[in-house]
Amino acid sequence: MEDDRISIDSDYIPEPGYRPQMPKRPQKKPSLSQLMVTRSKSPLKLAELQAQPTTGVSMENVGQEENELDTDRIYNTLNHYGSYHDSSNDQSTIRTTPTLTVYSEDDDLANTLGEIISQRSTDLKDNFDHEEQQEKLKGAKQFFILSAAGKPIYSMSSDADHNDDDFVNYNGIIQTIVSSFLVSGSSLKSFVTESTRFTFLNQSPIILLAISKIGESESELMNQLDLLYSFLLSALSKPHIMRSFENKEGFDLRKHLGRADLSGLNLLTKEIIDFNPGLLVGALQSIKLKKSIRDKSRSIMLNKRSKNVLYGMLVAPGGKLINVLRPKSHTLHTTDLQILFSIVFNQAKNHSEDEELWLPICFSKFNPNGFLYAFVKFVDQVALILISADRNCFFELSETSKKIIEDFKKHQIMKQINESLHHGLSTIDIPAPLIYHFIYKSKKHLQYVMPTSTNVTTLQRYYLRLYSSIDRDAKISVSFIKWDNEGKDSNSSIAGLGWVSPNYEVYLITGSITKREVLVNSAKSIVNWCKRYQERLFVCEGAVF
Amino acid sequence: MSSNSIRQHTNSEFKRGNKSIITEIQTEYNRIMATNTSPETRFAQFKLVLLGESAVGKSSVVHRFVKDSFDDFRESTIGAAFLTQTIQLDDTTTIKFEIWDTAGQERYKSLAPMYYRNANAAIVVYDITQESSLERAKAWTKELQRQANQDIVIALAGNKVDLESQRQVPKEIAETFASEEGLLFFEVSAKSGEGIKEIFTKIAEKLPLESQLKPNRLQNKGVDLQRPSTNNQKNSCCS
Ligand SMILES: Nc1nc2c(ncn2[C@@H]2O[C@H](COP(=O)(O)OP(=O)(O)OP(=O)(O)O)[C@@H](O)[C@H]2O)c(=O)[nH]1
Ligand SMILES: [Mg+2]
Repeated sequence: MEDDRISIDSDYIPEPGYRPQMPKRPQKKPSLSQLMVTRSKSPLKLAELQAQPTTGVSMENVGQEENELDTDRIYNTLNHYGSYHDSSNDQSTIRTTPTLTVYSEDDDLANTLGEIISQRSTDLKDNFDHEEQQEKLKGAKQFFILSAAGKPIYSMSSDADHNDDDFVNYNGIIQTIVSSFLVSGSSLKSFVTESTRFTFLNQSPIILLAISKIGESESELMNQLDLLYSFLLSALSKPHIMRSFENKEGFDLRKHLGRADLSGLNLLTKEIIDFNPGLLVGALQSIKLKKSIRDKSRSIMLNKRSKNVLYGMLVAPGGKLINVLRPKSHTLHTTDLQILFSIVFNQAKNHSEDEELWLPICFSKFNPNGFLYAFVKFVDQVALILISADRNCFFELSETSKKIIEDFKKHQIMKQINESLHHGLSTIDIPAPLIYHFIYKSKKHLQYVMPTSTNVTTLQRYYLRLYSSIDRDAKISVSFIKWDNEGKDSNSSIAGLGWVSPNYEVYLITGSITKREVLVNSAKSIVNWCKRYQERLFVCEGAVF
Repeated sequence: MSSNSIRQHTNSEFKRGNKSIITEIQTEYNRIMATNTSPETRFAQFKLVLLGESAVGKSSVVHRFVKDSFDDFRESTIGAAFLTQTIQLDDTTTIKFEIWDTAGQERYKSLAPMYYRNANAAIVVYDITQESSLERAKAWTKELQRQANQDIVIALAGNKVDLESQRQVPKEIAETFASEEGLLFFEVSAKSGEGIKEIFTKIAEKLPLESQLKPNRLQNKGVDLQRPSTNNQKNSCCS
């Protein structure tokens, strides 16, 4: 969001800094023919590729030695590559392929679909609890960030010390893709080989690549790459990145990234891999809270706000929103907040009680050209975040936070929040007894709720499929999917329903009843329940000043 | 004259609402505080900043001091963190440190003046197992001497002495530099706790206590004559 009223700190330009210069090594350039196996039947020799330096293909080089690159060739390379590495095929069968039915309005949906069959819910836990599936997920996904010249910037890795190994392993493919971008100006963003999807985000001078074997679509992977790119911007800001590469195509951006940044990227990629539904549906999770408590915390934040407070947020662990303080004319982008919350709770891991943080952060969707400053204080587990454009007002914000927290305590607000966090949200609360799990997003609030007792990671595959089966161009879209022979008991089935209307999105999963009509009715119950308790479930008004 | 008698005096004056007498008492009270004739009244507050390359252990040193704890997997600091810790220097003196634990990551360098600008003391930390970190510490020292308060007390601290076998920086080299530059010098380990308390107490001893007393008492707390003593603060691990 462009903003002319709120000035941001664009003076703070991260410095290249004090660092011993590394001696320059002459770069060996592998020829493209070495990298690519085009129409030949011989398998791609990965060992050969690995022997090549990672800083390989320059543009001129490519142009001279090979004719124009075409998608076909990349495809071939990847085919070899894919079969070399491929281990897990998606076995799921979609019985009813995504059903896209448009209804006039949402409410009479169940009736439209007729008979409702009631069945007893069985214990579904067993159905979803397959560790095997989790094992499969390992290595089923990879992220790379590199410079347009092909220099590695980041690769997802559980082991920071071996960050480069993955780059070496994937070197051939990465270089091929990068050069195809640059040489042929390819607008290619995504393609599939067998069960593997490759998706790129070209934010020259930075290129991001996602490799996924778990059946995500291009747009989902694109969102994930955008999140990672936004994180880089949050740390460095856009001008800093542009300046770093100015006249220095071969610049190594890792020089400007520290432990904190790698840890932040690792955390985000882990959240993606472990499945954070908020990243999928583009919303923040909110906590259920009595309206009176939410209102009280809102008025306290409003009353105690001091003049340099631009935004304020009260956030529970996991980035769950409790309340927001903001100026009337400005909202913050979900992605910016997801990144902020991720950073804040990562820093919280070993904070001590009275510690207060002062974090410079670039909200790239708000304004990628400068920094805002986030004051953070923890009360129990909950973070109070106050944001200012003035880097010098830490003590003002610190005083403000003390007053806010004092009032919170006086009115038992922290106690209520802790209770709410403790109880969480359960399917038992909702008159849709056959549902194992659901995600409900209120589009207006850009917030979602889901039962908190279930580990949602095991449901990733189903939700991904449901999500991508929805027709996003239609005003209302419903999709029903059934997976046969899933789970430990190979006779059982799993079914899911996705339902998107102009006001909300709901995705639900069940393991016992797989009749579409029943699911539709349950979805309707969830929607009604969430609408009815909207003010408890979501931060509706926020503290607007 | 004890603070007790002041208190009684004041209460009665307050009741009469006689402003000039109260002012007089305040002056007297401050005189007593400043000349330190009362055994209960020495309280001072200092701003302290930690600087040094990333990963040398600044946050670990602070957490050892404040919480007496250590974490093998500490997250690297982003921006800066603010903490306070109060210590009992001796039977009569209480010192409150306001601590800025800054991020060592280079790109935050331009923010550093914001944290050391008003600092009374600085701890410049290096890692005895990383030679480059001493170079960085030297650069910080020079910057402080150029840009910070004239009378700032600077301590150089070589951290991670528990990793003696990996030592790259001989003690004498750093010590020589410290004495040339007029710095306090310590070798410490945030992990074992060795030497940590000492840095802070030695700094406190070197800080000009008397000059801190008046401004702090007047500005920050005012002279609360009902409760003239603030040294009922909790003792810290460093007392
Ligand atoms: N063996 C040993 N390890 C230490 C000691 N002090 C810190 N560490 C470790 O060194 C690493 C870095 O420590 P931090 O305290 O985060 O370093 P820092 O100087 O605050 O780093 P930045 O916040 O990035 O500037 C952590 O993994 C600590 O566990 C020590 O005395 N001995
Ligand atoms: Mg630190």
